Amino acid sequence: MPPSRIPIKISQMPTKTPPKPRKVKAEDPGSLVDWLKAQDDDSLRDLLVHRPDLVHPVPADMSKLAARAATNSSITRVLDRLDAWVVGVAEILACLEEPFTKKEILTLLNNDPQTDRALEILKARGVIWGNEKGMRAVPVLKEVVAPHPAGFGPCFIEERPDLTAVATKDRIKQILDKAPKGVDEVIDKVLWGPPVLVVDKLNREATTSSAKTAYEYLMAQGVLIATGRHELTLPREVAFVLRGENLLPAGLSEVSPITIKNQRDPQAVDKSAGGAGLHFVQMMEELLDIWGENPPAVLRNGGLAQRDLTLASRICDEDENIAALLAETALAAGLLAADETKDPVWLPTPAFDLWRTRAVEERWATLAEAWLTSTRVPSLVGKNEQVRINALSPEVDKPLAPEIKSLMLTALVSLPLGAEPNEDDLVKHVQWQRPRRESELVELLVRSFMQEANLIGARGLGALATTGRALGEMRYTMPSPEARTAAARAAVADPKGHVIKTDPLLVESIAPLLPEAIDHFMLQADLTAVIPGPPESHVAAELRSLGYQESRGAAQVYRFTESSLRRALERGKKKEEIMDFFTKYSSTDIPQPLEYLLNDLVRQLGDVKTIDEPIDDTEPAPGEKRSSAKLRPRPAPEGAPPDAPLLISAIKALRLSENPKAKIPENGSNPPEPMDSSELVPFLNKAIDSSQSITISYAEGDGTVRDRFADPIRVQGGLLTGFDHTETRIRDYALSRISAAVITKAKKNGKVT
Amino acid sequence: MNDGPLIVQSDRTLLLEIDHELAQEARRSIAPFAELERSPEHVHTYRITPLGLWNARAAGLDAESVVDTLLKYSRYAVPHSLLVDVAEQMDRYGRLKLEKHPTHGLTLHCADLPVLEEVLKSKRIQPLVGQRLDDQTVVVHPSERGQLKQQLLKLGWPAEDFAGYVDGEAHPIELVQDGWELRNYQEMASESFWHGGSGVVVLPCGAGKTIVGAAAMALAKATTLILVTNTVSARQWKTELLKRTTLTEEEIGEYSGSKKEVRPVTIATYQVLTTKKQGNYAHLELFDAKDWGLIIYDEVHLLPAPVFRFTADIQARRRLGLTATLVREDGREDDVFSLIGPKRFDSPWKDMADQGWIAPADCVEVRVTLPEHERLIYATAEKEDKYRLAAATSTKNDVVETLVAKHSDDRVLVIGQYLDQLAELGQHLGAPVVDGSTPIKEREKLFERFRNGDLKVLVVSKVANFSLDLPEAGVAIQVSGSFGSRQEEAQRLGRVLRPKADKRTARFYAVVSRDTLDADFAANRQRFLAEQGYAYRIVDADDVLQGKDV
Repeated sequence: MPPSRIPIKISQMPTKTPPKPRKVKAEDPGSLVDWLKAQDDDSLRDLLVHRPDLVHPVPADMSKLAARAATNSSITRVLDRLDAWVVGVAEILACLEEPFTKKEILTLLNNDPQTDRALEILKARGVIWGNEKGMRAVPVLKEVVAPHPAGFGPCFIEERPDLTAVATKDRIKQILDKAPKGVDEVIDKVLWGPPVLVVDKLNREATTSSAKTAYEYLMAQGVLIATGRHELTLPREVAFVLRGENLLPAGLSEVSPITIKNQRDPQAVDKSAGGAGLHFVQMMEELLDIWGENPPAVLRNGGLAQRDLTLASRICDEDENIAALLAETALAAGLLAADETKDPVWLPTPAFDLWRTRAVEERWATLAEAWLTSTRVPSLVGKNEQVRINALSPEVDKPLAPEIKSLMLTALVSLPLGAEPNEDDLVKHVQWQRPRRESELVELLVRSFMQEANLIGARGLGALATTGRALGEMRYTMPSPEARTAAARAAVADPKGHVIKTDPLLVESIAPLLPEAIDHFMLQADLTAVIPGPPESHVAAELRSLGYQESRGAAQVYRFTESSLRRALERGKKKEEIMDFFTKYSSTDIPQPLEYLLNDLVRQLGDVKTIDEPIDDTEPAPGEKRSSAKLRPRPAPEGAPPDAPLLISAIKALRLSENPKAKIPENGSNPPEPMDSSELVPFLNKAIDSSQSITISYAEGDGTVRDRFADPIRVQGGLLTGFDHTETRIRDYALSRISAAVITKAKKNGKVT
Repeated sequence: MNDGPLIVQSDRTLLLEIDHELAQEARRSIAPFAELERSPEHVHTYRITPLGLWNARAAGLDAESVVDTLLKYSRYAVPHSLLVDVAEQMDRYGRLKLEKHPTHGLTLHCADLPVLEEVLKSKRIQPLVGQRLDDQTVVVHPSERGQLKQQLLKLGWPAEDFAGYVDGEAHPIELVQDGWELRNYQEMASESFWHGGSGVVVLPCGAGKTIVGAAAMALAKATTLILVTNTVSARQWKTELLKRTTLTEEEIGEYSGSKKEVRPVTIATYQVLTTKKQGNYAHLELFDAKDWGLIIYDEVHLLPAPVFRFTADIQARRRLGLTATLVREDGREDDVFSLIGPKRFDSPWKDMADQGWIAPADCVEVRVTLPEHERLIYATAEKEDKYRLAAATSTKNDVVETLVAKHSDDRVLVIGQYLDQLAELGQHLGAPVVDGSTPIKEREKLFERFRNGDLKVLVVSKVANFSLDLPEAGVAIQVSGSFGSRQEEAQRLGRVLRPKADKRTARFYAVVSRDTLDADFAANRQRFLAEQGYAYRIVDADDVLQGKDV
């Protein structure tokens, strides 16, 4: 193809090449609004699921939806979440003259079999619309992919007519054959973009013979064009020839496979992961227990001081990375919060007390899910940007994190059981999935999450375990909007208002991998107690209060010393209680020196007053503190789809706006019944659960009370969100202004019967 | 779930449940790379350290077999990070190689340039190496071989030593096994030392460390320098060697304060080696007096600092360390390992007792209460005097007397720290006292009488702590000790652990004053015993005095 026929150009650049008459005229697909109106509910739903920003808030009608869908920020979000091939195709489409046909595109992309997939995705996301015979892209796409679509520089043919001569296969070959050393490297840098080079010393007057560097040689030959004092650009015409007349790099349409480094026994993998998961839960409990007694201060920037992190790492007997992961996961799971006092400290929340009463597998599930959806990146802790990054500080937050975690897990799930992947391949895979994200950041995230997955028990021996698979699947089911709403409601229903989420799928995944809990220990004459396996929580807690933990892991070793026993006695433990505990749970005889040590202490301490109060497991032990901060519902991670009732109502609202003649029932026969607030919430929840429409008496801002016919969507924060049939939009109603309500007959197919 | 005897903890300790049927097998498999930390009655604790892993590598074990062993015997999942760490640590060993060079003598060679650059950058390494030959090689002065190895170890890049050992001057030595034979563990200990080249053998008192030394000499068949703690011990070594080997009186020399004989086998005391003349260690040249093929360090945990330093310079000679406890109160255990060599053999005390190689022991703590007036004095005493006041209380005398009377048919050692206390006890019991001031001849005479049963009770001071061979002592009563010294406690228990002809159980009494520093120190010392598997009982002095059965 001679350069004059290069079919691509970019709208910001003045058109250099006259439009070439088409052989077959493409059909005009019409406007985006019309196209959206013509879509069925499923397609609309698909669009909204993938572009949640379009329903916050729900647009009033289709034209508003279309306008919002065509904004720069919204399209940027779409492209940011597409893989390299689809993005590449979108960038090519941005340069085409509209409307374009599928045939044209196929020709440009060398009939790549993945072309259809790219077009389907772009269409489903509302980036392009139309059919095979004629398609258009949202106009803003050109801006979003600027300045270098598909890595191409601008066309220079008009300013530099000599380019016509340069940009031919034969001439380029000639130039490259005679080229000095280093030219290939320069070309490699600019060939697939960005096409602009910044060069320190550049003699813009250099000729082929006086060229001192590869840059100057290429400039003198007309391959690169000086576009600034220190800047060289590869013209689009030349790039096209250099690329062998390909618009996109070969192989871009397929992600490179992830090679397997080691094949492990899946059972061994699970066993290892189960051990790690258990250890993680134990460390968490221990750390938060100690923080309950000696809470670390909240730094002015909101973080945790380095000194406290070091202390935490000593408590867990692990390195600081692990301590940071524990702290961040605790924060994400709502087990840790800053209290709201003048000199704030980091404290376990009331939810921690609830959490610790649960079975190990449930406790793990809470932590694992928090980890999965957390935007925190603990491996950034200790790194220096402008300042040193502290754990629990805002700098540790990367909104991209959950998305990368989910991509990583999805990729790992696709591997055979027990396969340990090559990490470099995995990094490349995820980078391909998100080409528009900073590749260094993606690499950092993937590598740190792989480590974290080991620690948290999602991977074992380097391969994804059953637990990790469940987490990977979870990403698919998590958006299951029904499940999310149910979970949110269950949380609200919790009598103490503490949220402990345990996904049954996750609980099931780890339960069989966990070793059985052991409730006995061996007392030895060197004044140690050994629990030869994962301990029952209450036994471990009691031993912790009597001794110092010496060894951690699957088993636990505690040492009793004069000071540890004195501490226990001073806190009101009686000697008899301690002896009873030993007798009950020790599988060996109580060593006599231990008994003597206790007796000696009791004698030294004299009569110690004891506290005879029943112990509430969910309350902090004496001396322990709890954060006053209640849990706030965690915001859904970026890009998480909206919940189902909202989606359904949003689509309905959009449909009705097209057809404002929807029937509003006469409610005369069925007037709203007066209700007080205690009746109202259960009533509304019931209506939401059974998808029934309601009529409410609602006091508007101006004081007038009107009956509103609505489909309730959710109750949250003192507000009812619902689809108002009269206004044909989704709106909020203050619960306090609803004086009466009644179920209007059940809907069928969205219509009131 | 695997039902193995081992639990691999994330803090790098290994818990071995010893009542498990596979416990012995697992113990043998992990011993080459894990250090036995303590061995109380139910669960033994081993620790995986970089040093232990490197030693295992040096002994020819690779990371894979270590990992396999852990996975095979572990009851629960082995923490992944630990497995990774094992592989990484073991990979560090041997990147640096000490090699012989035809023209430059000794060189440090490394195929991994960044590692070599890293170690050469260290200020501690720089003075030990010479000219850089090429990218991968640097010259090492032969006399710095030990220093260099020690420093590289501290940097975490242990060098594999291919430079070998000098054979020394050959000298025929054979074991003469008539009426006795080498026990299997003694043979294993000497063999594993010999194959390793240099190292430390840890055996409880009474298990026959001298014989392990003799066996090592018979393997080396070369002139040998033996370093011992004192003259009495030197003579005991000589007697043993004459009895167990083909060596004759003329071939064995004593190098001590009184004699300066240098013979094919020379026994020297630490004391004479560290004696200074005009500010110089006059006798350290003994190391060069002969082309020694083997150097044996008895009670290696007591190795004094100057000998340490000198040991660093003689890395080309084979070195064998013998000890009952590697606990050094100065915490220099690692120096012992890097200068003498890695631990080549050890065995839990209790196991040896179970097999009858050492006498089983019954440890009893007898608690006395200070009388009212002494309590007042104690309460108001200066801190530094408190221990002495509590430990040397005369209340203990009656208890000791009762205990001695109780064991009138056995031979009893009364051991203490304070000479006036011992003198008083001696008078009280009508028994002779051996302390530092007792002439050697007199000492040997008393010990001989004790051995043949002529003397039933002997009161001894610190001199009895080490290398005192009194096999028939069946009861030891400790009245005071050097504060909380754990190794001293072990040594003193060792006095009574020599197996008895009638296989009777040995008794070890510690008499302590209740609610004083004495009791606190005793607790510290006893923890060590408990960790060796010797559970102790506590009884009240009143019960003893009333003649109750303890």
